[in-house]
Amino acid sequence: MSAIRSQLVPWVWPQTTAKPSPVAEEVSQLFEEFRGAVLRYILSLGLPMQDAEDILQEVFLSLFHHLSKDKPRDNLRGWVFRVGHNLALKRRQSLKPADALPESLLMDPGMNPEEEVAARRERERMLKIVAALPERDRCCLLLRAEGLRYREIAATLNLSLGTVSATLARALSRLQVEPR
Amino acid sequence: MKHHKHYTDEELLCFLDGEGDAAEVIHCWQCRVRMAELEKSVASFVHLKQDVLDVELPSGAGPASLLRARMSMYKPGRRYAPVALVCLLVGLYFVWPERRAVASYLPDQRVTPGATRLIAQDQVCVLSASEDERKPSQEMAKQVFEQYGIRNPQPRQFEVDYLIAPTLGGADDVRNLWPQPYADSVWNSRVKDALEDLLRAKVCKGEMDLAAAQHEMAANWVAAYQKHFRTKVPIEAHALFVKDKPWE
Ligand SMILES: [Zn+2]
Repeated sequence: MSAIRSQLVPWVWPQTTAKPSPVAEEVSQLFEEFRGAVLRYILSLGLPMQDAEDILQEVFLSLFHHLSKDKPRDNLRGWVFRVGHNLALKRRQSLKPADALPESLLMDPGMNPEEEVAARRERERMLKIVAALPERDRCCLLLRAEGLRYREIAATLNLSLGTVSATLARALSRLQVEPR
Repeated sequence: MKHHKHYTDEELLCFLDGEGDAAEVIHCWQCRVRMAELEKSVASFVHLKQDVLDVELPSGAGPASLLRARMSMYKPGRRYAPVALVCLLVGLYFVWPERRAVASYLPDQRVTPGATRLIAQDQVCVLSASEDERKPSQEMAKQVFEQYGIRNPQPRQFEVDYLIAPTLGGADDVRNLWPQPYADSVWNSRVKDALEDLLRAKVCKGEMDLAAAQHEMAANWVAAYQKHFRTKVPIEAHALFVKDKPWE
């Protein structure tokens, strides 16, 4: 009986009075929670803002379908980042195959006059290293800095846990302040 | 005490990040120092990310309501959902604030793409100070307000500003003008002036192409500022916005 009812309800329910489904509510909340981090991450892959926002919509619509089908809901943050990462790479390929770096990594030497010379130099040194990292290493760092745990990073980039920790350790030791 | 085999960077990082099941105390000073070094790298990367890599994100209100609307169209078994969705999207195209010309510190690209006048690179560098004080005509200002749907602009609310500054070869053209609100952002015209001065200096020193400078101003002057001054927020000296000198 209830099975029939649940089949019928969507047909009968007038659209105008439809309240957001619990899943839609949940996805809206997740959108609010993750939007900034995912958006920053997608931008860091070198995509323009408008494309990044488009991708975000796609990601969360997919999440909505995913959750509507009662699919597993563990590691949702990893799921969101993984779908975002994949869509972003696909979009980037169609936009600009050669240039993978975001603008912020390709800047001219600093011009901020109020900054101390030493601080500016250090920042330039860091930027150079970050720009020279293999993209996978840079992605690991950026995801970790957005708060993702290793298993979430592993899910996003389709790596093993061991690779994530080894990559992070290697990248961090490259960033290390030069010995005086 | 047995000879201790030092931990690898990877093991130390796992301790720091609380990954894996290791929760032991590390007694070895050498390993602890190495740990501190890794922690320092973490700190410098986080600062770099905050100061340089992260750009200012637009408000999420529009995207959030678009998403909500799109989800509400997908009810299982609703056969006409795609049709309804198309209608909704067409509707949203006109309603979604991001899509409409809104007066903000960034102009609407569709209405204000920027326009230049024909000028040679070296001419830019000999432009007189009067270029700096050029003001758009009343007629043009009226047109600009209309395009942005501003009915009764209050005198102290907006400044009709050139997107590509005349000093950088920007044209006296409605497509190069937008109402820049005075109050609602740290990204005010004073900050923009600082960027214009910098880009002009770069062009005149031959460090930058005039066309590139114009393009950067037109595309997103805030991003250009962040890039050239290497800062996420305006430098304090630029941001102190004195609209009128108080003693005048
Ligand atoms: Zn040791």
